Amino acid sequence: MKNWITVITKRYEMVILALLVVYFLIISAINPSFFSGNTVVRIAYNAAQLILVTLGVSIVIITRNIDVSVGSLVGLAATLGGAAVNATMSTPMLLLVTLGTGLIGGLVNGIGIAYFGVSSIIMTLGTMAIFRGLLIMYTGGRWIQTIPAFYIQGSRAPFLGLPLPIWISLAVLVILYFVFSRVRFGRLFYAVGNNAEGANLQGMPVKKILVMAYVICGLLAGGAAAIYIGQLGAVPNTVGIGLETQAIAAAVIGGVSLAGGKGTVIGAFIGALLMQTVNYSLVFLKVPGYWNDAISGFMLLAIIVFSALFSKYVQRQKESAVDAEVAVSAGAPVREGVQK
Amino acid sequence: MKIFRSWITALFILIAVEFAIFGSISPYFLNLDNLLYSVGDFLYIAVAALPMTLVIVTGGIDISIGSTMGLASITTALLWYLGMNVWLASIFGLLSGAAVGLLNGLLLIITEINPLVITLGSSFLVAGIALILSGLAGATGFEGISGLPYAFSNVVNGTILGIPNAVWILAAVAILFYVILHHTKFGQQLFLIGVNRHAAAYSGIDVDRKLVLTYVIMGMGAALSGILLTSYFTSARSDLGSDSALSVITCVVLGGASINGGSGSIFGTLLASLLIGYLKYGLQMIRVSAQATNVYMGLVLIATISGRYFWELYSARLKNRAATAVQKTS
Repeated sequence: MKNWITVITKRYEMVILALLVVYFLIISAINPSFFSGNTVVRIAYNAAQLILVTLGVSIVIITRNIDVSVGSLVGLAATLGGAAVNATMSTPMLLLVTLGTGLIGGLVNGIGIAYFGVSSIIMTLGTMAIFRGLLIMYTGGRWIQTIPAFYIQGSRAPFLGLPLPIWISLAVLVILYFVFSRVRFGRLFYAVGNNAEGANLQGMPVKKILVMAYVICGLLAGGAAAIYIGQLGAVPNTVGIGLETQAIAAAVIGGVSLAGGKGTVIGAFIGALLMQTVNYSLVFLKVPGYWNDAISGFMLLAIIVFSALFSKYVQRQKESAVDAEVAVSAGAPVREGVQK
Repeated sequence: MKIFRSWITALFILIAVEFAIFGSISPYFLNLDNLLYSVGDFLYIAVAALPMTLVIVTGGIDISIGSTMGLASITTALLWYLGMNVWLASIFGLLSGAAVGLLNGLLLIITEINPLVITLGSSFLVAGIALILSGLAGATGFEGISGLPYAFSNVVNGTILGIPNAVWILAAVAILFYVILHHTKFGQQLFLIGVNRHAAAYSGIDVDRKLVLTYVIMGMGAALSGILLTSYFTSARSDLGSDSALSVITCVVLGGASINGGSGSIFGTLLASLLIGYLKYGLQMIRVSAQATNVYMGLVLIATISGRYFWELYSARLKNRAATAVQKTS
């Protein structure tokens, strides 16, 4: 029993993964056509942009901040990127513009929060409106259409049997996993999230790390925009609306704590996959279309509540285990003393 | 307390500057009738911002208010559509908001996770339920239910004693929440919970119950906003007010409340609502597009909060300097 609990507490990601598998099996039981490798590929393919955004938001949340502007930033980057590829017919140009937009957006957020004394929720609420406003001012409310076929084809091209976006999301996961759990630089983000004041006293460049977190988040938003353009083949001006809420929810489901300093990129990755699976499965539930939002909303809330209650339970188990150990170690010398 | 008082002064100055700028650009801006009637435009923001002040004072936040407005709007209109008296239907609309608040509050105290996450999750659910209700009436999300009775639309659009009802409603709601937050024991306890939740619990306050009550009040406030918006437009839609959370939180924070809890004032929120409301109105009047208005709103929010941060830093430095000067002379 004790072993089981220690395994789970160390690997919260496993719980979410198990939840994902169980959910997948339940939907398969309701509708057998859901149960196929093709479904898995489709979910992973569609999840790519949510995964990138969730990973970015998770890094920000680990530093005990929040980014609600990321959906609007994806929208702005996709719009400018779409316009750039239409004008220049070049993929590098598109990547330059989408990633550049993300970088600048992240930089603005980070500098405002670190150096101008604006709390992260206020700053990003503000830039959320600004990015979206700039997007619509730029397009005049129109869609960016006629994305060149070479980009649409190229961005979906299969590589070793899987579409490119899946490989991109996996590559980003591996890099971030390495940086955030194996390199000192990555641990700094956790230190800042755990105790910014203490990290500052220890001589860590807290403000620079905050800016860095938002820059990474912005760059990933830019990457998500590049994937989005290829996946849809057009850029409506509603791109990314609500994406920030999905990403934050996915991160929290994946075990990233809004209290900062806790969570892993792997957990966030699985959280985003679970989120996308829930969205994708609705088609297979055979309910009227206008029920979809309520069902996914209900499931989202249920998963949030479940994961919160579970962590609370684990926390309590841990505490009682510690209490037991303390009792044993405190009791031992007394007994020796009696014997002497 | 001193800083807080001068923040109110700063808001007054900001409003005066705003009026002066818009007044000098457009001769129609400083027309009293226009100013009074435009309250109807931002009434729903202010009416939701007032109870939001309570939530933020406790250190919480409610993102689900936008969805709650849509739910209350569609609930009221659907019940009327099915043959219920429109006033009775409005009461059920308010109750739907109370139910959302109850859900938020209960989940909050059961899970003990950040209210941002809980209300984010419930906003999806509530928006979904609103869409189902709208589907039940055979209306798609974009059409909604229209043709509500004249008496109902007159609630916001009518006048009493020559003054638009919107102004009366805003004044009444502001006074109500002023009394609740600043002149009741409950209001005092909310401040204490926001400053230090554990200390509040140890001093004998039933923190859980107060928090649930706060979110229920917030839900009803958001529902009232949704119903007023329905009256203003004479039609209901499931996504009415769905993007209002930003503006509402902006008003509360601009009004002097700390997003970390423990401080805030109803009067400040009211002034900030007027500031933001007339900013939107003024930008419209000088023909700035709605999209650009959003950009300006975001800029004003960030600039004001940042300005306040530097100003507090500066005033603290001045105080320190004064203190050391006193020490030296003595």
